[in-house]
Amino acid sequence: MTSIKALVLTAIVGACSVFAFLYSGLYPMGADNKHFAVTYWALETLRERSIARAIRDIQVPSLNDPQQLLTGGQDYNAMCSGCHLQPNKINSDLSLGLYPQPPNLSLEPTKGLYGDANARAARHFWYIKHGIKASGMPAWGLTHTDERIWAMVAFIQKLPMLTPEQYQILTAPEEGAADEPMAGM
Amino acid sequence: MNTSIRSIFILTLALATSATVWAHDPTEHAKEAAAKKAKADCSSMQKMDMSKMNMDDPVMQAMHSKCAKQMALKNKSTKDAGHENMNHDNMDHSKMPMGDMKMHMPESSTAHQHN
Repeated sequence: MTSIKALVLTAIVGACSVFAFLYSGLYPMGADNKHFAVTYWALETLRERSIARAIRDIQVPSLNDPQQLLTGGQDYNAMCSGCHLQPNKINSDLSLGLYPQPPNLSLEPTKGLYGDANARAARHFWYIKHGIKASGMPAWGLTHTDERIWAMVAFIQKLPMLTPEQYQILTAPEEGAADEPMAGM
Repeated sequence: MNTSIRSIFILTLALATSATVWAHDPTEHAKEAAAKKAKADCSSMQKMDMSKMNMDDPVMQAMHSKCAKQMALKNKSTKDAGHENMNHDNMDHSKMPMGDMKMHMPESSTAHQHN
């Protein structure tokens, strides 16, 4: 009985401490203030386990159509390159300022990281479609079709092999296209 | 004492240097925006040795398709501009071989009526 009382008392004190910490404002929220290594590990593990579970049923389509590279290239340049960079660009205001730092997708991925090319494609599709909470990565799936997102994935697969000149040609806006896309047209 | 003064000096110098490295000119944003709007620069493609290219590579096919489209548009606009720049007033159209040419009449002329 005494041990149960002690357990309940500890739980109440613990809960009160958590609330006191939350309301105290003591937690440093700035993106320029890094997490403790243990906090980073916990958040990263939570993220990676969640995504690994979510992508299990994703079927990767063929990603070798040149038209996908043209569509995906333009979207990548407009929506992703600011954070995830491009050939011959090692950083940007966004890549330096965001925390956690977004990966540089113009570099060859670490061998074996997240499995083979197919597994990485499924993972990129999920990242782009759903975004990642509190990381700065938006859920583009709310405004872009799956087909368009797969085109971006196709482009990202080729990105580490591209020279700056190839990148420029593939991502440049189509000639004759309107400068700004017109909403609702 | 000497060590701490030296440490403070080095730290101040490092902070000042890093601040100048990261802080960039505001015009950089304008340059980046302009680069995003720039047309495909196909001149680099023209310098490539086509015989050494792998035309089964989707990257090459995509680049080729984009530059071919751009080249076609450029040729069309050059042709159009060349025709518009001609001075038709000084030409004797009766001496021109018009047999194989299709005339594009303005819409108003098709509505011409004989009463």
